[in-house]
Formats: sequence, C-alpha cells, structure tokens
Amino acid sequence: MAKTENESYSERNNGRAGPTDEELIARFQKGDMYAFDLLVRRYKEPLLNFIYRFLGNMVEAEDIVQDTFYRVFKNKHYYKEVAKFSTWIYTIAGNLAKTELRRRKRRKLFSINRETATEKEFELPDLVSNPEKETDSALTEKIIQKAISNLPPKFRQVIILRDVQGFSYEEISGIVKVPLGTVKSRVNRARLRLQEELAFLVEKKDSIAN
Amino acid sequence: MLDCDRVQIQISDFLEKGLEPAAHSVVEKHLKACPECRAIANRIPMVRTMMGNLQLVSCSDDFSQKLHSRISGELPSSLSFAQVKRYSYAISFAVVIFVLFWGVNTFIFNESAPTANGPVQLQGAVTSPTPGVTPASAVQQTSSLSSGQEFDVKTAQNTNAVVSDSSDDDHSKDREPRIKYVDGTK
Repeated sequence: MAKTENESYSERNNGRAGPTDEELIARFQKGDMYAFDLLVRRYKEPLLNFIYRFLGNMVEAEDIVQDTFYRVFKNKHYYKEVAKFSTWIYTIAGNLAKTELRRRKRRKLFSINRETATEKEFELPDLVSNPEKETDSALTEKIIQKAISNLPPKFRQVIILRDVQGFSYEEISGIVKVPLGTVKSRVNRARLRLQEELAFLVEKKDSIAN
Repeated sequence: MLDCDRVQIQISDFLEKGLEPAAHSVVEKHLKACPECRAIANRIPMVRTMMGNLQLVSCSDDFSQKLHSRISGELPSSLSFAQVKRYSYAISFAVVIFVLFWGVNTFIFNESAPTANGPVQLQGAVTSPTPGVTPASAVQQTSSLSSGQEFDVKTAQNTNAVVSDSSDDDHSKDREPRIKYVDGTK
C-alpha cells in the first residue's frame, strides 16, 4: 500500500475524487443504496487486507469483511459524525476479527490439525514473472506473515494499522479505543519484536542490495 | 547517558521524529555509541518498508453479489423501528381505509340479508364442470330444489361460493353443478 510518512489514512483517502465517506454514510442513512455500494467499493479491499494480515486466513478474512458491511448496513443509524467513518468501520472489523480469534482458540482445543488445514486454503496471487523472484517473494511474504501472526493480538492489530495500512496514531487510538500513549507503546514493542524476528531477512535483503 | 532499554522504548518516536529536540539528541548520542541499539534503529525502518510492501489481496469476484443477497435475504426481518416510523402515516391510512371498507361492507350485507326464514346457508363450493359458468347461472340451473328450500342468488354471490373448473372430474357423468347445503341435501 503506497503511503507517505506523516500522512494519515484519511488524509490520503479524502484526497480522492468524489464525495467523502461521511457524505456517503449520511446519504446512505437517508436510504441511498448507491452510497452504500460506493462505501463497499472503497473499503472492501483495505478491510480485507487488514483482516487477512490479522488472522492470516483469506477465507475467514473475507467472511469477516462481509459481516462488517452487513453490520454497517443494519446499524447505519448508530453512526454519528463525531468520528470518522473509517474509524467506525475499522472498529467493527477489528472487533469481529478479535472475536474470530477467540473462537479459533476454542476450536483449537478440539482440533489440533486445523491450523495446517487452513494454511493450505490460500495462496498469494502470481504477480512476478521470474520464477526465482516469485519463490523469493512468496517466501518473504510467508516469513513476514508468520512474524506478524506470532505477535500478541493487541500488538498485531496496531502494527498492521500503522505499518501496513498507514493510519496515524490518533486514528489507531480511535479504532482500538485505547489512549494514544498506549498505542505508541504497543507499536514500538511490536516493531522491536518484529525486527528481532526478521533480522535475518533484513540482513539478507541488505546484503543483496549492497 | 541513557541505558539501552530506555532508548529502545523511545526508538519509534525517535525514528518518526516525535521526540522533543533535547530528548532526540540524547537518543542520537546513545545510538552513535551503542552498536546494538544502532542495529535495531537501522532494522526497524527496513521492516516497516517490507510490511508496507506486502502484497495486497483482493476480494473474490462475487463478494458484492454475496453481500447483496445476504442483505436482501434478511431485509424483512431487519425492518427497523426508524423505518416503521417513517411509514407510519401510510400504515395508519391503510388501516383506516380497511376498517371503513369492512364496516361499510358489513353494514350493507346486514341490511340486505333477510332475517326471518332466511335462505339456506351455503356451506361449501358451488362447482360447475363447465368453465366460465358464474355462481348465478349455476344457481339458475338448479331446478331440483325442494319446495321447503329457498336459494338466494345474492347470498351465493356474497359468500365464499366458488365456481371451479373441475376438469379432473368425469364430465360425462356429472354435468350438473353441485350445491352442497348445510342440511346435507344436494
């Protein structure tokens, strides 16, 4: 996801042409279904990427994104313009993802083999033509995803929102409903863990670059 | 000089230029002197870049279709209070019209219905094997009413008397319309 430093998620997205998210949800609250469709088109991919990185499973991620939009549809009148729409929808998606994670933990108690079964469900799409590069890229993806999955959920959520999705600390604080200082501390601790776990990968990349 | 733990707590703020100038220079000084913390400070931006470059995944082609079918499938049950409120005038108007129509209809029916020695009440269906035969004409065909019985055409039209095309029946055997009466006579 292309992003620049010091630019929040909503600043980037409000730069796009057309009505803002808040205008669209206001229209949808008055019964405009086309506005809802536009919101779905805008948010389905970012939400899917957020949930996919959080859960590490494509099928579950898509189900949760479906659930998120369904809840937005059902509870549209609960949205008040005191918060950004992006904050609201990411909060819903994040809560559903955490619920899924808890459910998964319970399921794991009954089935130990499930994890290996779900790992096979999704393969990253082929975008690189060079087979060597392709293997390398897919492997790097897997390693990074594994490192993210090894983080505790509360660190995982904030690091994805910050370093993968590019939200500002203030926006993350609004999404996860914890104070700004706590968000910063969690992001920092997540980065310290990731750099430790991915040190070999960084060094490898660094040596290739040099 | 700060110890490594305290520097590492501030490392993200340092890298994102979120520290006060004084604190920033203290951390910078530590990093120059500490190779371990310097390595961490070098690795974090690289990890961030790798995370930012993770491949984007896309929703399946039928994502929107699935969502819409789910929404439309549950629309009747999801009629919210706000929606009911919005249509309250229309609903009230419909109820008033229904009550008025029902009241007027009942009044007219009661006015026209004979009270003493009233007609024989129809219980079931008036059937005719011939399609298109109306209840009135079906009744007109019934010359076999016994003397004590009286049949009111208006009553037949206003009750749930039904003329149906009983094409499954054997037409050759039963060409007469059948009227079933309460007292069991035909």
